[in-house]
Amino acid sequence: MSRVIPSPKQQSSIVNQSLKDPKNAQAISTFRALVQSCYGPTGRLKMIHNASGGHVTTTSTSQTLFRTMSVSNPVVKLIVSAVQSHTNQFSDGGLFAALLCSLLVESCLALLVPQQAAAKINEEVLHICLEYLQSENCLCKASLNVGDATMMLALVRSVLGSKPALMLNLDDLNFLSRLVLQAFLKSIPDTPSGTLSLSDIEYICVEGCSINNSRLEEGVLFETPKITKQYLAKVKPRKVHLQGGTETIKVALFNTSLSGDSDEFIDTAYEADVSISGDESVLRHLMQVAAHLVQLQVGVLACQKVVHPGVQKYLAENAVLTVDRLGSLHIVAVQRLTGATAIGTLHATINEDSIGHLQSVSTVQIQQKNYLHLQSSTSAVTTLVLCNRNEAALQEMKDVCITAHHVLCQTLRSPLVLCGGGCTETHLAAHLRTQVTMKEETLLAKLGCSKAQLYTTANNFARCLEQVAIALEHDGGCHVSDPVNHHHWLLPPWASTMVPAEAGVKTCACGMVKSDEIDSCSLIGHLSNQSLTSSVPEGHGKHDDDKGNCSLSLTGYMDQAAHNGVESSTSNVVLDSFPVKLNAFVIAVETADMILTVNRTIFDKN
Amino acid sequence: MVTPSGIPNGLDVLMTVASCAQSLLGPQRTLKCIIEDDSDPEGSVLVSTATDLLSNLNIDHPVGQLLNSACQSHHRTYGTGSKTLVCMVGFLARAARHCIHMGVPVSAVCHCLEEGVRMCCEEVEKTAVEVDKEIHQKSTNDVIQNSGLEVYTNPSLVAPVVKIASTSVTVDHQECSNESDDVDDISWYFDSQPETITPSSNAHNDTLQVQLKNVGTTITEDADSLQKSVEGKIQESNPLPPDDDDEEEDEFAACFEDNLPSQSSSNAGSHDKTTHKESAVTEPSKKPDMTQEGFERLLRSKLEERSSRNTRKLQIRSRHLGLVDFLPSETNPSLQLEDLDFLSVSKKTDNYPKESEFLQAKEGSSALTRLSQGLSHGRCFEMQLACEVTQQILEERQEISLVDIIHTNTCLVSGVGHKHSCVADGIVVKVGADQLASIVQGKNKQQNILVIDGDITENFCHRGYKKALEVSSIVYGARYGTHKVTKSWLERVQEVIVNYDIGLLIAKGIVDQDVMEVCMSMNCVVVQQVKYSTLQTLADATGAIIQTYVHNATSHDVGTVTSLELLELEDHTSQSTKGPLVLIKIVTPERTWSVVLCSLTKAELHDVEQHFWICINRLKNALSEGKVLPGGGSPELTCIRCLRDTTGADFPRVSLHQSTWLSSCIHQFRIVVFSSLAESFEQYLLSVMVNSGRFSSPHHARAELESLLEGKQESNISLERVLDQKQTLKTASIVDDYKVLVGVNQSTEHQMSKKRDSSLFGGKVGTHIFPRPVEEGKLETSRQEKSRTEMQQSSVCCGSWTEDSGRCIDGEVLDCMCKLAAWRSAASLVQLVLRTDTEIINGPKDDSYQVL
Repeated sequence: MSRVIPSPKQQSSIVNQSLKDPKNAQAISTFRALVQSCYGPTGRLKMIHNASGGHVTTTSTSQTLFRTMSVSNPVVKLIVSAVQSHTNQFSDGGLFAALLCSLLVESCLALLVPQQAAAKINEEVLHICLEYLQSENCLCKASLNVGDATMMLALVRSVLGSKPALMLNLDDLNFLSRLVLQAFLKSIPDTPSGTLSLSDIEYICVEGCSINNSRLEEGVLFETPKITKQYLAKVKPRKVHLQGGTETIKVALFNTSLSGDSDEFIDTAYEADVSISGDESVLRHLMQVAAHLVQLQVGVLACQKVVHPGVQKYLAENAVLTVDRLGSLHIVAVQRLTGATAIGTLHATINEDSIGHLQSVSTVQIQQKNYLHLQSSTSAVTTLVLCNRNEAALQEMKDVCITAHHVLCQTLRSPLVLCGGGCTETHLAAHLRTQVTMKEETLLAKLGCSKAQLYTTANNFARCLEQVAIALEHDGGCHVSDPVNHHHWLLPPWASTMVPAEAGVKTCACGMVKSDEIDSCSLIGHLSNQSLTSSVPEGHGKHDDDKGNCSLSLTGYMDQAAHNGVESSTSNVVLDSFPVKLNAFVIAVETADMILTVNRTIFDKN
Repeated sequence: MVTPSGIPNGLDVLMTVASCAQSLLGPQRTLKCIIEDDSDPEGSVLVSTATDLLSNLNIDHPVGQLLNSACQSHHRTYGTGSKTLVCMVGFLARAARHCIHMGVPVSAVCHCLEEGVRMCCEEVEKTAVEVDKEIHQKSTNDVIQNSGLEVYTNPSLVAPVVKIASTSVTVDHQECSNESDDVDDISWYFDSQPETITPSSNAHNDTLQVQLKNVGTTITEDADSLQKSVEGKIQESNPLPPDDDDEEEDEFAACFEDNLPSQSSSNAGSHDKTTHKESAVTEPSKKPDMTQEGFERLLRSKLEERSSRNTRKLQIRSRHLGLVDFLPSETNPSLQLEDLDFLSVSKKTDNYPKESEFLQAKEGSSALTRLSQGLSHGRCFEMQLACEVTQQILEERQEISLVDIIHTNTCLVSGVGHKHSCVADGIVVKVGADQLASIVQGKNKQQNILVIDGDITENFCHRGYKKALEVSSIVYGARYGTHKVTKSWLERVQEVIVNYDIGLLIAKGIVDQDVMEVCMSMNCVVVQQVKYSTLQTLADATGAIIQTYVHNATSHDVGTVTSLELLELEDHTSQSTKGPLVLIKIVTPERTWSVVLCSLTKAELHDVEQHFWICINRLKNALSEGKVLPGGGSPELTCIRCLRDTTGADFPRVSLHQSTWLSSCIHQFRIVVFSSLAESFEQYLLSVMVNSGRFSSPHHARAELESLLEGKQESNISLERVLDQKQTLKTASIVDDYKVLVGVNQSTEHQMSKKRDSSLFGGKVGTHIFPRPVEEGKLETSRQEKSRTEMQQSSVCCGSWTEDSGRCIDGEVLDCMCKLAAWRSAASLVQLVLRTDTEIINGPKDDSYQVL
């Protein structure tokens, strides 16, 4: 009789913590400082590793950071999981969401306003902001002409340039942006049928050479140390002539092991006559499968796992090239390239439908390593070969290129952009303050809170937005905004009382507004500067009360640039993707509100 | 649990780790011993390359691991230059830290650092010299047929005493490969006045040459004593009038006498000109026929004569900055005379003409040999082997790539002296001595070869095979007679060997003992534990196909080997007493080659092998890039100069985004960063100079460096002139200096030379030929030019690179272009660490850090 003994369970211990517990506050504050220091093109990098040693990851992107960090504090865990759900869909904007969320939580906890009230006010403020952002009159939003390569390049450059771990200078940045855009264009199929589905780009990382050696290759590349040029000359895959005169190479794709130790056998004791040997039976069966493949005139056998050397030898003698140990990473790429269906069993007949097609098979040597190059005329799969001298920068480059590609795909779906460089945040903050003042009565009636509470919380919200803009720079500069356009300006540390033109700064942070167009500016991000009642902050320089007439819009700027056809003026403009930023903004505020409504956290050690 | 901890000391970590490798810089051989554990002496490792050093150090800090991986990656790509990378990382980290302390923002430091390094690389690239494209053609014609070793054992005139550091290196710098101007040829002493040249004078010459040569051969054995003796000799020399010659001569003779027996023994062993043995026997007391005064006069007249072709002096140079002139004409004349006097003793030899023939042969040696000498950086022995291999590769394939180099098989033999190292035609492997009979059987016969990637054992399974299908066999009743007997594994293997008449079985892994016995009985030689790269080379060269299982082999998989030979190293006695292993050479239909590296100790063997690979990689880089840089500190000096000359404002490139405030004031920060960057190059040079042992303190080295830099700036125009002209003009200018020197009155000259001498051997400022206090204005220019030549030349002679190239390398010290790649990698690593501010540690809670 068997006995089942369950694993002993430890006694539950419950830890009850208030949200305002110092430990939580400290954790949120640390997290906020961490994310703030990573944010922006001059952000600082983080090295993540295990206490017991092991691989060191150097990064500043939220995806890598949150994936490799293991967080235990529940509040921070909540923020991290919310941001991860955003990045799973949009890839970019994770740091923005994390920073805004943690700033809101941290600052609201410190306010004298009750948490629940603050959460409600924040929600209302969010609606105001969303209304503005989604309206036609939004001055910091513009529609992107997807066919305009300059604008698309500017968008890609903004995504790539905001990642400091790449350590790209302007030339490298331009080069890489062009490459990413080319790869994106190549991944769009020529003849879309029904819904347009964009395929992913494959990436190969090559360490040891300069970024300028990066290039785009059609088809799929993967490293195969044993398949050298000489080997391929000896084992030429069979070509089959199709109707229409074209030649093709048939590909059979297996995702099960052909090494002789099949997973299909049940793990039990076998008994057989003495003349039967287990190994030989299995091998014989494998040979039968191989013979069947030869009969089907297959030219390439691709296997995710290992193929038995005896089978490889037999196939090689019959002009079938064996490519094994593809791994889960490359099997999908080969599947998409060839159109083959992965065969998962050795005991069923192989259908003609599951056979894929290839145009050519060749070898390429990159940095003294052998790569097998598979090309197909029908598939849009491309491989981006990325090169960098530094291994850490190379890993980051791959992740950032994937991000940039996703952003471009999002832009195809909804071609809207926002001003980057923190200008949208400052613009939004100023608009928010104006709107709250204007709609004061309605809001007070709706929310049922006091005027002081409303203004404090709304001001706090605006300040958090400005803090996000300020976090873009880490070299000690001054942050100001102009009263007309409310764009963000970065001034040298000693120029806090100067206007940008005097300080030598030519444009605002996004590049849209020129310094000769503005006469005054004021510091941002400080609570004391913003008076509760006044909507126009006091600043220095000449005051221009006529706000409405002179403010520029991104749409106007881009139309003018397109009209003039001057590339140089638009080449330095920083753009953010609208869908990405919007979703990040919403996630941040909603998560912050949710956290603020939490009163207690309860841990169960089991 | 995530614990962030600040990394303010990332740069400090880089500096600390890099400082471990600092003492490896320079031409002298230094070894570091890394001890794993005090209780386990077996765990200690001797390293002399930065790659080995970092891989053996257990560095916990993540920044240290980054440095290690950057170094390994550079080594994988270029095969050389790792020391430069690691040391430059340290110096650049120090420069960056200095800039941060000065208040420069981090982004500005990163940006300007990158700008500065890029500018330096561009400037240095302008000084690159093209390698002769026909080098491989020349190399096939002019290969010195002697084995590489002979070159060492037959050096031309040498000056052992002026070697910088360890004794074994001294042999290395004795290469002389001039075209027509043999710098070591001092026959000009005796050419001009034939009437005064008596046979005995010729004998002087012979003796001088022979003596010095023999002295050179004894370096490895007796350098210390010789050095002391000559040192003692020179130090004792003071402005002596000629009549003091007798005493000094006796002293010198006395010193020399001690060395004679060893000289003869070494001569016997090292080269086949046995007549030199006789020449080694000298009777110090004999005097030349010529009178002292007459000889002096002769010498003086010779010195005053201007023969452009023959007035090259012998210069012994180190790879870095160590220019010392030993040739008697430059030292105290009286010393010179004394030397000659002493050396002019009876030893006449008929070998002088042969000697000159040999020198002639050396003059015509290939451009490849000269390239390799320039790139040897003090490792001439390994470079000689590398050069031979490269010649073979070039002959075979007309170009050289890393794949070809990887196909070079190395065989390491410990317990034998390193002079037995050689390059062999064919693949050299070690086999058990019990297979001697099979080997002898298969000598000079064509054999079939089977190559197995794996073990030859019954239970071996290919990689990726997890578990066999276990089937228990059931026997029903007595059926023994009916079922067919399946062959055992051993029988199947034997069948394969017999059927295909395999004479040579090569396996990557181990071979079963039973199989070994079967093979020995069938005269099949079995080689086990061979590297995969060797397997691949063998397979490609013999037409075999690499198999995983022996019993799967078919007739198509079998290849052919031309012959199997026992490889005998130079010393016949060592082969038979080698122990359990012997070396065999597999000669294949397609050309293959192996390098047998020998060393007395296992620890040193690894060092020799590492340096061999470094040397061959340097050659490969130089040939595949088609360019080399002038070495001896020249690239660093170029960088320092251009960084100091560039002011921030006039730097043309502005590549920062115009919206940041940095773009408007970057020029202010640029000045600070560039000066720190220049300082880091200076630190690099100073390390090399101090390591060379020629400077007693870093301050002297710094003073020397500053003076060189000043000198360079003033004489820029003359430098250009010197660079572009042929050797002859250059030698003319040097000769001018001589004229000036000799023209000075005796006492001053003696004083100066005394000072110089003491400085040479006292380890003080040895890079100057002329003394520092420049009393004569005329000496100034010559000194500047000299400084430049000192900096750039470090091997024996100056030769123009190719006859048809307008550009002339003034010396044989060269650097690979991968030095620039090392600088760029170092800069990028320092930027990465500069931008990192936090370390996040996943693991159990640590209260000393903040916890998330």
